[in-house]
Amino acid sequence: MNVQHILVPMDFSSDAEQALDCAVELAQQFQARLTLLHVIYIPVTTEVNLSSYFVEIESGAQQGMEAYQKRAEGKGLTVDTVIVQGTPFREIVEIAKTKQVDLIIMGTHGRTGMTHLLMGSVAERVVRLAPCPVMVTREKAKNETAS
Amino acid sequence: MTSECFLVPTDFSPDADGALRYAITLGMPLHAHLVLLHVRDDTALNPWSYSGGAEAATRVSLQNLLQPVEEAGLTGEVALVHGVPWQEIIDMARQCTATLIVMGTHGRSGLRHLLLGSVAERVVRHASCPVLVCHHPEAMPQEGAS
Repeated sequence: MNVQHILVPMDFSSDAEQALDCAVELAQQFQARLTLLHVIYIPVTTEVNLSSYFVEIESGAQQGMEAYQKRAEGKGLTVDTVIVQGTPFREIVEIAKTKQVDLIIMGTHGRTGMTHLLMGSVAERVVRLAPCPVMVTREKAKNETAS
Repeated sequence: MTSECFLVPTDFSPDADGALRYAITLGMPLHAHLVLLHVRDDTALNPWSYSGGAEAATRVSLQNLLQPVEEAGLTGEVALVHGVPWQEIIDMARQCTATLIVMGTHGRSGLRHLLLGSVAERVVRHASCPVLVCHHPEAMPQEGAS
């Protein structure tokens, strides 16, 4: 049981950023490396050609991920980033398997809106299906109302 | 991360033992203080609940779990409470201002086919601090585990 490779799914929410901060601190303690993952989720399939739309989303995501990567590398860590397209919880679990990470640290993934209320958060599904331990962090401000 | 306090709920199942081992691994470099909590579920139809010596026995079992914690050079304490497990876990996390809850996915009451026990699920949903959920030990890499 060791912590050498931590996966941090990022959706550009403050929730995820907090998870990243936590992951950075832990990675420093264990000299672990980080993999930052962003899943581009397009909820609808359509006949319309969305390729230019995709390119735009992807380059935006790339910039965001590079910023996170720099931030973590600035703390002396080895960091790589992965951007994939798909259903977030599925891709997170998949990457955790293929990259053989030994810990996933994530926020509750606040960006999913109604889906969260109706079907449970991305984090809950990841906890259910992940091949490794999962740490779910949370935003301080929301704590007091949740009970 | 200063003065880490990990809450480790246990029902003495293999999953809970795995979570405790993980908490120790994680706690060592952080010099964490571990609070081992057992909740006796009075709502369950559990014949043990009615036997007089059971509580004392549970306390001894709980105390025994402190041994690996102290061997690892960490400080720890035990708590034994009655109530609904997920609620008591969340309450205790607040009370001892836990910085992290470390728990297994399946409790003793959990049916094996449910991938995530209902206790863990509720704790993840309602806890005010981060929650680390460990999977059943056989699915995790083990070193030196007997």
